[in-house]
Amino acid sequence: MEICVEHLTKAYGKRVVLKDIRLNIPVGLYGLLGENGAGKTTLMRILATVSQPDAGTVTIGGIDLRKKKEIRRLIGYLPQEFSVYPNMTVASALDYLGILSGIPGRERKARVLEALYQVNLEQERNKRFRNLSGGMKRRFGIAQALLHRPKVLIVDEPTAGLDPEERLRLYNLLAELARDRVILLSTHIAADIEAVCAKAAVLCQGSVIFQGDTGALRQLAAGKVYRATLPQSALEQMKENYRVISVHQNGDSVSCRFLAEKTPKLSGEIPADSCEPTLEDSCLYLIASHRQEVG
Amino acid sequence: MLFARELKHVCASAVYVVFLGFLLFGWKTNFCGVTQREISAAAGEELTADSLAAGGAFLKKPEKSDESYGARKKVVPEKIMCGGTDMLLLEYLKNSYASYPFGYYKEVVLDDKEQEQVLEIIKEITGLEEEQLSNLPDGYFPQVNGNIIHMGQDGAAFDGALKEDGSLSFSAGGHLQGQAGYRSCSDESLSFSAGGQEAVQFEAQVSYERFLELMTKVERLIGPGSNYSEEMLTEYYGQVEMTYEEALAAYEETIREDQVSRAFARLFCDYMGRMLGLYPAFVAVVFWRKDRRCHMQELVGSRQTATARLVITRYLALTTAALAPAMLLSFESLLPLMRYSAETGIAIDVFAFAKYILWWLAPTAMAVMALAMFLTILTRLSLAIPVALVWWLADSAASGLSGNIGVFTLMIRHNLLGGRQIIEENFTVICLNRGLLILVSCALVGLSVMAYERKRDGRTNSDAKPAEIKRKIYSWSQKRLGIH
Repeated sequence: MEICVEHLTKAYGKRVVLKDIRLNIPVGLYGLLGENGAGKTTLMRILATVSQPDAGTVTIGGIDLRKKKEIRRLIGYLPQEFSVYPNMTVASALDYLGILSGIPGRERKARVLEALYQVNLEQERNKRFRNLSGGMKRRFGIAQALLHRPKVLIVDEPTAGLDPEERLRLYNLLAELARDRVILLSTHIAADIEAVCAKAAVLCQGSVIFQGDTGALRQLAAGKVYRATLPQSALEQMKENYRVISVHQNGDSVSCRFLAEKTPKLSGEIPADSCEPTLEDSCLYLIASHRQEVG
Repeated sequence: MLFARELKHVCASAVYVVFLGFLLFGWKTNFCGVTQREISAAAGEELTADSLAAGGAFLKKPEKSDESYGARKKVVPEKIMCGGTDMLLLEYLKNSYASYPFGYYKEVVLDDKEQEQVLEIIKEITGLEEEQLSNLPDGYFPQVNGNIIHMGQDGAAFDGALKEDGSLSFSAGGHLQGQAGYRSCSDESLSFSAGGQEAVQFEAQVSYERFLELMTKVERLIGPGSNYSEEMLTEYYGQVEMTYEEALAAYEETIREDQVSRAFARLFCDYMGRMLGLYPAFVAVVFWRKDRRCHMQELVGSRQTATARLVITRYLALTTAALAPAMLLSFESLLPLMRYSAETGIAIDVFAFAKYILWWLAPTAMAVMALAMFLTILTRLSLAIPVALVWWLADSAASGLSGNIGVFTLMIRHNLLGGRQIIEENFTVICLNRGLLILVSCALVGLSVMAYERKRDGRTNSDAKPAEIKRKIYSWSQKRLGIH
């Protein structure tokens, strides 16, 4: 099972949101990183058959994306924004979605219980959807996507609005599920991808600017991330000269993490130490480089 | 299974509860209790308004000793000319003309020039001068003509009671006193002559053909939906007293051909049809917009189920939900009829209501539901509501209280008990009409499937479309209103 995307293009009016995308997504957890508006959601909606590409081909498990009925049998989709009819209980909403997935009656009951068990929502099965917490709603989203045991799971920003504990629980669940299926996980939080994905792609302005191992992605910024402690007054100049990743206030001075192509020479002989890049550093480096190239 | 879930979903919605409320209100004010009252009236108890208008208890076998045997439709030019002139004169004197352009009352007030034209028409018909017309003697027009009661003699109004001797009693309402109306003629020196003859009772001075021409002119002055179309005049005044034999034949027809319950089923469907010609549009619009409002369309859209299955199942669930209350409410009439049948030994058609609901009401509800569904899926706006309202009003304006069935009629009207022959005479048109509505519904459901499929696949820009349509409607309305 693999997702193959070839020369995929999509535009909304004159605005091109996906440009000639090429991707190969194997079994396991695959991360899709990018800033807001990079085209992640559009790509996921196309893969979930709720949006139509303008050009290019996509196959999932060798089946052309245009064979929608077969593709919809293979995929489970958790959209970025979703809800269900607020008066429905958790179990009845899953049952309804199970009917729409074509799961026969007796089996459906068992599948609903199984999905609820997987996401640890059995206790909440008789609760109305509107009474669930944000984390529970996200877990419900995973449950509905898993209901028909799909070979491919497409999850768009699953941790949006979740507290750290819920996030961790959700990623553990996804990691467990990824053993025998493709899970495409989209987020703009690089740390999330770093925690659970072995492979990832980075989207910027509708183009894929990296795809491969997350380890390799992290190393892209090796030797280009520095840290320096400087007076508050020097921060503005620092921002003008370098791509500042993070700033920590420390009394009158600030501790600053930034990107530089070669060892920086800061005014006032302020020393800058090279440091180990994180996935987020690498993503920012990649995106900044891409923007420079494109102009 | 999907059908059951969708049906449950529709029935549990707030809009459906409101729909039920309106339906119940309409039924309660129009039809509830009619059957029981008719059965009681047949047993010699109080008469209903329907019975009264028809001249007696609908289910009572006529007897030779009866004072009256009711009325039947018949065009008698003298009666129609008399009644039409009577009504025209009354409205002329008040300068208040009733019209029903969309089935609802609208008062029309004419200017002096138009009033002058109406006066000339009345003068031509009656052969009387203006002064004489303003001082008509009592009894110039008959007190009862057709199913209309003359409001003469200082506004004497019918109090709706039947005297013991079977005659109708009147009381002076006085509400027209001081306003326009007929003044009683106390001055005996006034002479009423027309065409050189003394006339104390109305006598038309024109032929029936000329009268109809004059009424067409009046209609043009008042506007659409006035009381002076040939059809309305016939409706009001085209009635004559039935003979015993005719009354007996009508009764036998009710018992044998209609098996009693069919007559009630027709009246029931007449009232329910008016409501099912509009209300389902509201349910359909709210229901089809719910997926989007609840952010559920992507969860539904990415499922395996076929679009045709989803749309058709939802449509059937909506139509069933719209018709189910009618089916349930019909028992309020059917159960007393079953009891009546058991007590009298007169056989009734137990399935009459079910049959009439299916062939009479279902196509109406189907068409309205399909139209609303299609427009809502296509535009994602509530556009279907004004469209359905315009259709309903136009259809109401085009049809009278009974008959008037055309190939494109949305709601069949039959606002009377009995009148089986009207349905029989129009049966071919009714079949064509109902068949056409079903075909139109199927076509709209097919188009809905196509539109939904396009939206589901993202072939149309789902977010831009409604905003674009709203913008176009807004700029169009600004242009029409001349706002810049």
